[in-house]
Amino acid sequence: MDLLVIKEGFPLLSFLIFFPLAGSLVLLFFHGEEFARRWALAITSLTALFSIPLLTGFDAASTKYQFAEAYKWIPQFHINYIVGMDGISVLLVLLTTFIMPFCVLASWKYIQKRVVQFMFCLLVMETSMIGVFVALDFILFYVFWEFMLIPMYLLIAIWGGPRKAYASIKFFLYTLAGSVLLLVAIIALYLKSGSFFIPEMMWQPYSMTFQVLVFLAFFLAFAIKVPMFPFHTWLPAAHVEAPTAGSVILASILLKMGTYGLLRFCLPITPDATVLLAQPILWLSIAGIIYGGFTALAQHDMKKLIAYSSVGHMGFVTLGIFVLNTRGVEGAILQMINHGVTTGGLFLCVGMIYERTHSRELSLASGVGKYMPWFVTFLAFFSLSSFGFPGTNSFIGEFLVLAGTFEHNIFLALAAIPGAVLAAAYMLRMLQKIVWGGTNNPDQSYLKDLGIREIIVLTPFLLFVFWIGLGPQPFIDLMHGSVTHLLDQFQTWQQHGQVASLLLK
Amino acid sequence: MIAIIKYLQARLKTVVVVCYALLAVTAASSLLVDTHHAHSWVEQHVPCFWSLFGFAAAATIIGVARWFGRSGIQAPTDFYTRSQSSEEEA
Amino acid sequence: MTPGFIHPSLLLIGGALLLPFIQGPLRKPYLFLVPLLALCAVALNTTLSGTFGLFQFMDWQLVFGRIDKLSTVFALIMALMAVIGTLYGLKVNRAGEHMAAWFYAAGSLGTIYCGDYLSLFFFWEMMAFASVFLIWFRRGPQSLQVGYRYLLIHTIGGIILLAGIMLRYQAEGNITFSLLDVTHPQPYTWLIMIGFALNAAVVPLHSWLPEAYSEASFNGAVFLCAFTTKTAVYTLARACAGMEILIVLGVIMALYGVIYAVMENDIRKLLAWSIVSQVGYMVAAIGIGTEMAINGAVAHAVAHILYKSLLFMGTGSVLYMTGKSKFTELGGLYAKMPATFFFTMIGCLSISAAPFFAAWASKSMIIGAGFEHHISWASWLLMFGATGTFMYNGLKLPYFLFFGKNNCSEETWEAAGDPPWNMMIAMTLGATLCIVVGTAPGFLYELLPYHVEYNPHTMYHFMETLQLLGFAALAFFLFKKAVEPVDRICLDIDWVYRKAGCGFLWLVKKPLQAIDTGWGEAYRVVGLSSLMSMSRFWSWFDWNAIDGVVDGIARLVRGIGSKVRLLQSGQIQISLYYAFSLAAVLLITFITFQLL
Repeated sequence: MDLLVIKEGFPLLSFLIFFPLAGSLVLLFFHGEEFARRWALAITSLTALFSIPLLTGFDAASTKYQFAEAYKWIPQFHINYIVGMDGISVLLVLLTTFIMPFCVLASWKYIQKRVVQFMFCLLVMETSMIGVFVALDFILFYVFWEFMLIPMYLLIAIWGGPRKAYASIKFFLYTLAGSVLLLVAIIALYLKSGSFFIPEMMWQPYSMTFQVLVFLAFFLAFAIKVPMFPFHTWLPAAHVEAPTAGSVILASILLKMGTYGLLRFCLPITPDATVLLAQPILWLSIAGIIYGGFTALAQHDMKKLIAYSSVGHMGFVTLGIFVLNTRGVEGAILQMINHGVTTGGLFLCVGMIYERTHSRELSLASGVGKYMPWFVTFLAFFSLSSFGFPGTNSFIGEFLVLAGTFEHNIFLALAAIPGAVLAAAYMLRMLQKIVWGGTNNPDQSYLKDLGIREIIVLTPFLLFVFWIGLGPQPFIDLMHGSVTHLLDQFQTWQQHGQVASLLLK
Repeated sequence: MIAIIKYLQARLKTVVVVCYALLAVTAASSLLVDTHHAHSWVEQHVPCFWSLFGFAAAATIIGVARWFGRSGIQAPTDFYTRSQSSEEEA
Repeated sequence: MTPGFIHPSLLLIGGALLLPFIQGPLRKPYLFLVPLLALCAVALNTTLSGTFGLFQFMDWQLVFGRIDKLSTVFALIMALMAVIGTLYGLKVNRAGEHMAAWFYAAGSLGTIYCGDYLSLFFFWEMMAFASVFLIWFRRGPQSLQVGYRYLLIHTIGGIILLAGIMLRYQAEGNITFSLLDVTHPQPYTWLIMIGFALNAAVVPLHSWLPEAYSEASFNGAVFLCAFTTKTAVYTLARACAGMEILIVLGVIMALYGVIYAVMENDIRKLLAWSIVSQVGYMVAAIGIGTEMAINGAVAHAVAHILYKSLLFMGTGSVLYMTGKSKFTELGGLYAKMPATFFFTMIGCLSISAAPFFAAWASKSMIIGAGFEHHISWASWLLMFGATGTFMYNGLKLPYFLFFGKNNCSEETWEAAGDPPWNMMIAMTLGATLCIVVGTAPGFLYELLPYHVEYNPHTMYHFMETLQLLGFAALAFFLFKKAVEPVDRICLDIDWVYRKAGCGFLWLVKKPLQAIDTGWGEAYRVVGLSSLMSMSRFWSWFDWNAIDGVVDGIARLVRGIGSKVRLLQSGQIQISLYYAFSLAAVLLITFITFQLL
């Protein structure tokens, strides 16, 4: 308990977690569509507003879990309600709370049927997403983790595209299959340590076999979520069929839950296994980067292209995590935020095109630059950011990751470079086709450029693209304390291990 | 003023005669002028120096200009555009 | 800034920036007012003396206001020119033209007032970039090309000047703009001189001038003729006075301009060649370098600005009214444009140094200085050139334009007429000043840098001029046929670099382009195709291989399920039967194990 900085007074984190849920319950009693939209916007905006104190009150120097709250929940099984936040999770929570209002805004015109239920699903998802990032009790974490499966499934299955049934079930079963083993591992850890409190499970001397098994169980669940090659095939289907808001939530936040899990749980709880299995996982990440690049290049469906690009980007994140040095991990966390911002922006853009042309085919969206100048400006900047153009946010993230990889192993870094080149290739190809096209573009003169609402939605994303790209220091400062603490603990652990093996000799 | 010019143009022969007379007067009066402040020997000792100089200089310039122009400097007005377009066709 | 010194360029630039916002009836008064204010500022500055407007910029001290007699006299005439020029172009609607003209004037005044090389360079480039717009605004078929050539050449000149400035700074350690050491010239001395000389249209760096000034808009030319070249004369007078090579160059310029002007068919190009010729006088005088010579150069510069602008105004009026500027398309215009003829005639008499007209007071000062300094050959040649000046400018121009054979087409003749009131007033002003300077040069002589002991109103001078002019006129009328204008252009040194430009373009278009195209093809065929094929393979793999496994498992499960479903019959007896059978089997197995 000394790892926690208990929040006195107003329980901010719990408020942030349950406020959207409360808001969603209100929607059960009202049927008006306009009301539902406005109410959802109000709730999400308020949540975002209330998450600002998290930022201002955050002590970057402290390595404890801040804004913590601890209550007894099920004492018989030592399951408690404990939430807290550190440098790794603060940015992710803020990402979640700030993206949600824009998801609501993006769905304003897009969703026409069953609007109330849609907003209900969105709000419930927000609850579970915030909960995942701040939960410090494993059962609590698991509950929140599973909690968002159903709303996401509904989001795709009801409001999705032509193959929504296939995509939604695939997503649900894929993720669930991974999570099942996660539950087994959690219970195994409980049996070993006697409580579900996560920090107490970290840095414990478990046997190698145990560690490897637990690690593999974790890894499977999180790798499917990330998604890592070859467990990624649910992603193209889900992204393509989901509505815009669903794609944005999926890409910006859900994928981060996977990488967050890898960082938060795999290294501290099973450090030896991490070290043992790091090499194959690193090469798997490289495979993901390059594979994602190639497959994205071959797509002619815009959303599928961006989905595969996510595979590539998350490859960089896992690469950064498993090189296990400061630069790599910081780059990985920053890249998580960057990917959320950039890919969220890209999906929003594609959604706007879809609303107009009712198709996701690149060939049908060719040459819109002439008629939608505002739109292509935003699209161009998001595309540049997507392949890590200097001055944009992804450049910083990828640079840090590559720097960390370079420290670890030169060949690994060199292998990642083609991935960056491929990213530029497919992104620029998409940009070129959409903005200018070729000599036989379809007649796009009926297209209307972005309205005020759409510009309001896209502008903050663009703002962050440049803010993080040009002045990343504040963001890195937020996470620096926790990352160095984690890696220091890892160093200490390794030294203990070496001393122990020396003594045993 | 136009009227004066038209009047003079109608009596062109008279005008020419008057001009020749004025020139003769000018040349004659040059002999009467004090040449102390002249800069060179030539000016001081050659009578009607500047008249001769003026005529000779003007004639020389006209001759040189004509020869120069005839020797190729005067070219058709589309000289540059013509060679440009022939290159573009090539 | 030290109080008392008002930099007129600030007024002009400020006025230019505000101009687009002044619309409607306010515009004409505003247009007249701004240069007038600048002129007042310059007039106020004449009471001061010394350096003003000092700024510290990094390691250097910039001097924006160096006031002495030399800079004062030039500043006065330039500011006056800005007033007359703006008045002449008052009816031009496009604000951009006026803005360009004012920036141009501002650059010139800035150069004249500056005391260090850095601000000189800044204002120098301002002049070049502003003046090119005066050419482009003509919007003729050639204007774009001519303007670009003008800009290119001036930029090259600016770079040469900058190189000289930097080398000098390295050698001397300061950027003060003052007399260079002309007796021991270094490479940087030459470079700076060349930079100034290019703007002064010294032969062989002169060929930008005729084509640019004849291609300028009708009012733009009035500005162009005054500012660039005379500002360059000022800078040469300041920095290169006494440099002997300038004498030779000046004389060559004077004669070169004469020959080309005699051959020329375009009336404004003729005047442009005349500029080359007259500036030659100034350059030669600067080369001589004595007090009288410098006085002569400055006086001639002032006179030249006055009469050349008057001439450009006159021919500009012809261009404005008829749209034509060639002798072979004009002629006999005195009847339709009498006032223009009158003013142009005054300009022609002024340039010819006819008694009591402008150059009467200045040209002989230069010639006299040459004789006194025992550089007689230069003075003789300059007198020779003066005869030619009278010939082409005092005789050929008025004769073939206003008299002679009437080559006008129907519509030209119809359109010809005297120009609007503002242009007439401007020309009146110019003409008046020409006569004043020629008749009572006293107040001009007061402004000259050195004390003047020269008096142009001597009997000898009078007779000399009358003889020269009279007998040159005789020669002209006797040999009139030989100077009859023909519709031709005159090739000049610009032939060299225009051909070189074409050659360079050919090189880029043919060989270099072929290499680039070949490389691009190779990249497309080899690189791109293989990349896309690989991408398509991996996409296929993703769907068929990986998803094949995943979806395959799902299909398998469904298959098993659908088979097992058949076991459900819905009848309770069958279900009970299965349940009890299963229980019995389990029980028997369990008991068997326990027993064993």
